[in-house]
Amino acid sequence: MSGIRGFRLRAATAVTVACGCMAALSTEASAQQYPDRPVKVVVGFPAGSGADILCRYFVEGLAKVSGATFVVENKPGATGNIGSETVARAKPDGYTLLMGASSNMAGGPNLYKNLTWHPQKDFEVVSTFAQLGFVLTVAANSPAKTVAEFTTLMKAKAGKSTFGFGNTSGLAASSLYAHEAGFQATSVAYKSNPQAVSDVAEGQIDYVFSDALFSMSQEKAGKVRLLAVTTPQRLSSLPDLPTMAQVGLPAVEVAPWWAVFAPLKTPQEILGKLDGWLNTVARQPEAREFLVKQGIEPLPGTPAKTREMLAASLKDWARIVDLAKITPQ
Amino acid sequence: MDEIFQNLATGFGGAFTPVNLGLCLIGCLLGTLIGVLPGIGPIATIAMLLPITYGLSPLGALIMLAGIYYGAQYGGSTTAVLVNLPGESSSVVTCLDGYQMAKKGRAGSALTIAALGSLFAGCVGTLLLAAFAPILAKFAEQFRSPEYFALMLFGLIAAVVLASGSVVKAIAMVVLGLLFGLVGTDVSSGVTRYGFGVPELYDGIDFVPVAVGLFGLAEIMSNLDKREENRDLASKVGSLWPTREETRRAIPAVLRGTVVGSLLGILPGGGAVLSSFAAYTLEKKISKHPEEFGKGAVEGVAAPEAANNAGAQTSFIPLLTLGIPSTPVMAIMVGAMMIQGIAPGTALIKERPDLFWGIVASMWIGNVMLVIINLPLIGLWVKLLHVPYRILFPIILVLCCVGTYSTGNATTLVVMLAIFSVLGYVFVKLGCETAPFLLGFVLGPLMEENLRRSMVISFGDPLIFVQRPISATILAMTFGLVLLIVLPQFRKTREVAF
Repeated sequence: MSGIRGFRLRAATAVTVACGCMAALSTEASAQQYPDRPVKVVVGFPAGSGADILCRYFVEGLAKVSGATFVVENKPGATGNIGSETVARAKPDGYTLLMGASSNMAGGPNLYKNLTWHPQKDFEVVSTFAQLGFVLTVAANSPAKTVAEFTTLMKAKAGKSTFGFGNTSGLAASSLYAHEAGFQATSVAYKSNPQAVSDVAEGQIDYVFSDALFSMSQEKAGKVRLLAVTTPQRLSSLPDLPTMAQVGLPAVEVAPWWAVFAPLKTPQEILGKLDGWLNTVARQPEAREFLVKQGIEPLPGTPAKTREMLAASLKDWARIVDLAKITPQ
Repeated sequence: MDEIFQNLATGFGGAFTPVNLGLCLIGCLLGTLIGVLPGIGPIATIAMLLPITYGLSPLGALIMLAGIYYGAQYGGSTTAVLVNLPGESSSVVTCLDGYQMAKKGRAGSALTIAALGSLFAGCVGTLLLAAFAPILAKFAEQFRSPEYFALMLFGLIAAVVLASGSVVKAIAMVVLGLLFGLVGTDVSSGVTRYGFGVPELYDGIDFVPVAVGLFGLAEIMSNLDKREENRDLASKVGSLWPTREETRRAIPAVLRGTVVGSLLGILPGGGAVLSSFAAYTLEKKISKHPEEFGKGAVEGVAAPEAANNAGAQTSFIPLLTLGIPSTPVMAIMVGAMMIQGIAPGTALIKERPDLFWGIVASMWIGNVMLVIINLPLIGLWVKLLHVPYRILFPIILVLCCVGTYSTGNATTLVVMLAIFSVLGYVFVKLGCETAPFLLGFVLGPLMEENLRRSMVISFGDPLIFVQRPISATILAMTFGLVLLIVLPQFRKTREVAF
């Protein structure tokens, strides 16, 4: 009897161990085979927006490099919150990813009181892939040719200066500039930066910090003048344009970045694979050419570096919200 | 004049290559298809096709994307006429009389008038673009926040004139529309209004569930009320061709619609939506039979259809000449151009005449193609009406749900669709018109945004609205319209008329 029981026990143990091994093997195998079905990449902005065009380019690149299928799903709304929330709640199997903007991932927790997700507690970081700059744009007929001259001009208006913004990053840059340069300015809200730039060109408002893409095309048309850019380094597309730091205002640094995120507890092997593919795409010369045309810089990175950038951006946004007197919703 | 023809010759030379003709055809076909499917708009389609265009020549890419855009304008009117479903925001007005014509067995005629009217308007719009683009762009440039505010105000007052029946009900519907338009994040202060903690409401209520619910599904529900034999649906199918009388009435309406649409189309923002509403109001105002509007007036289909197509062509003017996108679709076109390394703006005509004139020429080719595609299809579309309602209704319902869901990939949108269908049903029962509601809903937020922006720019001085000549003129016209509604003599004629 005891022999049989013993055998049963051993058999049961053996089966359990075998199962355990197989389970371990199968996780390994599934990570190795990843992805064996289409991967959904959530973008929290509407189809056809500038953000969407950028993300679709990288999703296409991921598909080419990995040989797998990657599909964009637009979940627009609440400045990206809805998309981020969806991915935070998704199954951490590597088949749902997020292309997140720093304005949402770092700005969101500072701009909204009741967010159901947190960028550091609910997400694994894959890597950054692109960085944007904001360009100080003034009317083409403005007498000011440099930032210093423009600051003098704004100070002379004694509180009657106005600036436009089409998104919170633009508001941040404009508020920071007025604060650091030491003049009073009234903010004028727009639905998008192009509207604000065209009001600057027509002399309705004094200045705007706009995405490089639109400012560049309006400068070519002779409508506006570009004075400086808010990124830490000069933009490849505008090599003659100084940075805000180079004109003596280092605190006016607004450099939104884009990164791929995955739900918390996504297997490390999968994150590693994604990081590799994403960096391959970001380092391709044709990717650089595509981005630079639009005033965007490729930003290949590592998970560790991206985590650092996220932490720094969270702190930056806290300061900006305070400075621009934004009430969190 | 010679110069224009020379330029157009350059353009046709570029557009008439086999590859570009093929791309134009693909764009037009796709556009027609998404226009017919409710909820799936040109914005999402163009966005999804953008990556495909990386490998095309710049001209080819733009020809295809433009084809999708005006193809959708065509397709949208088909469902508006046949089943009272506005496929695009611009075809909302076509529902008013187009669907009534279909009920009378004139569906084929309505579709033919819409197609030919659109062709004519499209050709005129293209010629305008060729001849006067730089001058028109200068005019559009003068429209800033104060002018937009005045224009939106004019539109809202016109909405009251547009409605048939009680003035009080029309005003109430406009105000109700304004209230629904308030939902979402306030652009100026960033404060969320009527959000009730639902993140999906932070950006406001989407247009698609509102329009599809209020027009299409509400109509289906009120039809299900009735006994099967009494259902007043478009089941009779008469001749596909307009009668001589219909043609006689449609031609001047198309001409007027073309003028209205061309002018409003060049205004960045809001212009395109306003053009079909404005054309409809104008027709009703000058018609000898205003009582027929809303009951199947030929002019009520011809003018708005011409207006929205002319507007679709002229909305390229601010994009190609100033680099300013006037509609969300145009904003994507900017993206498409930048990807190809082309900076839209004043320099485009001089630097890349081949591209500028090629696009202009392809629009004309596209319009002709659309008529060739659509005229034979009319017979087929009308046959759809023979499908028994127990099959047709569920199909429409499913298509509407899928289309609405796909605009933002959110089930919340489908829930909103359900809510607005019920609301629309209540409106039908109360005898309230949906068009003024929709105009308030669309124009209200734009009006508020521009009012507040003007006031911030002027540092709180309301005189900004009368010191600027264009804004002052529009406000004076609005005031005239108010007088018309209030004055007793007019009230009397209005009562007789409606």
